[in-house]
Amino acid sequence: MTQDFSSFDSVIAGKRILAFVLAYNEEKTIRDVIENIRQSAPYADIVVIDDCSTDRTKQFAQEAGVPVISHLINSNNAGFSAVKTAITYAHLEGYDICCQVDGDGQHDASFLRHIIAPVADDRADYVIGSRFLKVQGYTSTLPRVIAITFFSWVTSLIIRQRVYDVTSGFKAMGKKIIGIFALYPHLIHDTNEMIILAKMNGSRILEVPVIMKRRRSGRSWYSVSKAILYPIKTLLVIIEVLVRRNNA
Amino acid sequence: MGSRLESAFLLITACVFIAFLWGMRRGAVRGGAVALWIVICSAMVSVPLLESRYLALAQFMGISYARDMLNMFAILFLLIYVFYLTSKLQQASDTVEILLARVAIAEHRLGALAFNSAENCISRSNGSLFESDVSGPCLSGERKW
Repeated sequence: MTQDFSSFDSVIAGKRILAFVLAYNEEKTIRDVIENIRQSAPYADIVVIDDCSTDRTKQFAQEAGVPVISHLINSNNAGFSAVKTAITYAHLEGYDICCQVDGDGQHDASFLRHIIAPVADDRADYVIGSRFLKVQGYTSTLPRVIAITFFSWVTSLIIRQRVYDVTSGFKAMGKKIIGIFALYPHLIHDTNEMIILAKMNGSRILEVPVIMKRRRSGRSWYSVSKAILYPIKTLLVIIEVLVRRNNA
Repeated sequence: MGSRLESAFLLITACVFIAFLWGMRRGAVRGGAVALWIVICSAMVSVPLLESRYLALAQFMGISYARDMLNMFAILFLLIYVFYLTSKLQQASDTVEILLARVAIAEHRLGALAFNSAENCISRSNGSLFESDVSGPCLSGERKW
């Protein structure tokens, strides 16, 4: 799928865009990730959200000339607290669009414009960079692909819109979504929940194909025990959001 | 209830009450917890003292053994209390997460502010170190509030 980005510059003109990088012990990749974003998205401000890394992630990010927001303690929830911090920051600083990039180098910054463009030209409020819309490059391990497929199906059923990659961390959010998530951070605990909440609040969700890379270094947050618990936790979160009376 | 059991019960209650007072004295037990522990101690004391009332209540509820009724009350209390604690824990966890974000952002902003302030000082000192009385926190050596 080729997209026409000839009008991209005019579409993003005057819009403040934030690319936030989630990082936890990513000293081997963080500089490259920052550099890639700089080259691919010079129009975006970059901020690194460091979830209390124990290595030199923060130092390397600062040396790369990027502001770093550091958590005092590690949140130990797959970087989800870092997402909330980033969204709160985007809200407080008045950004129009914010996009999430993982610090492990899996997300190709050259696709940033793919996820930003629909938000910038007001076609969507929440854009997911999907690995499965057009399968290319690295997807994930088989058990995770099965889990993602299942939860994508469940989430699609709930929001009545087909979504293929609900767990993708490569996403862009518009001002409306930023406002909702920043004001009600206690309502979001999971990417599935974010999508459902966004839809419940009348936001337009769009999925665009992206190519992801294999993690270059570091360890995934999902250890064996966490990977076993993840589907249960996700299901509970989905049930919770459906039962909850006040969803922002 | 036998007199020995009764004494044991009162002794345990006394110990719990002393522990509660000790906790309160140290500031470990406060607010709603004080009321809760007073209620718990009262309920424990009431078991040997109001045995006949409990028997009557059990009979009224159709429970053959008053001990079963007490167990049921105790389990019910524990369930309610655990539920309450769970919800409070969740609230605390949410609050911690929000504070974590806010503190991180505030710290970042303060750092940026300090950096800008330092840069201003440097640029000022480069240009006109001695010629003006422009008050910067680090140029003059003392702050002008």
